[in-house]
Amino acid sequence: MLHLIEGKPWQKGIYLLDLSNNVMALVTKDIDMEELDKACWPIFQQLMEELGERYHNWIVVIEPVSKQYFLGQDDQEVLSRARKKHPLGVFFAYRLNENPAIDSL
Amino acid sequence: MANEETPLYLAKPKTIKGQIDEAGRVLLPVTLMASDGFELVVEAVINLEFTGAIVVPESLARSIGWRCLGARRVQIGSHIELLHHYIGLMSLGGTTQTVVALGSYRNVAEVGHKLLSGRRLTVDFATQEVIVQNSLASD
Repeated sequence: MLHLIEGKPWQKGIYLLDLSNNVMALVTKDIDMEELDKACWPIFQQLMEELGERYHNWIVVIEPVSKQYFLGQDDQEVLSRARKKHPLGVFFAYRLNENPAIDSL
Repeated sequence: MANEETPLYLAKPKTIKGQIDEAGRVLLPVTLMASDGFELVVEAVINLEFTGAIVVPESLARSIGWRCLGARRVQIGSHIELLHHYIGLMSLGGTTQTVVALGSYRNVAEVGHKLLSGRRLTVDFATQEVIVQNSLASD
């Protein structure tokens, strides 16, 4: 259940929630996460071999088409850098670690 | 909030008041800025196990026009899942910032460590009070 605060005059965008997922699917293109992971995973494994020791636990963001990668310690900073270089690109992010998950939830 | 030298419109609130819901979850109001400028206020669950900034329902992230930048692996309990990541603008207690948000298929928003860093979180289950303060503001 998503909790919304009601009655605030500055709560202008609330109606957006009423739009169905189907409508939204038309607006935004779906990104297949598994395909993206599959494309980036071999690059990550190679980077793990080459950089894993030196940059242990750093975050690597991979752009699968150019195979370019971006390294850093803050995911937002690295993603912003990647986005600047590839404004229309999509990226897969890993942690240079045996467990490549970036966040835990 | 503002002293005599600070105009009211420039004053940034340093205390955020949340609440505890019927299920005992600790909720905090966060403002999500849509790509067209709309400001949407949602109550997000504070998840102290979450190491990132914010999780928003996938449908919500799309509907407010946040840009999906791909995906990442996320450790959820004992297994790993793939989640989309978005870049968006949001505000917590008057401080507007760009954050990386994870898209979730659950219909709940969650805030994590990254948004709470540098702040003091007080949860009083006796009085049902939830307060987040900038560390400097409370001293």
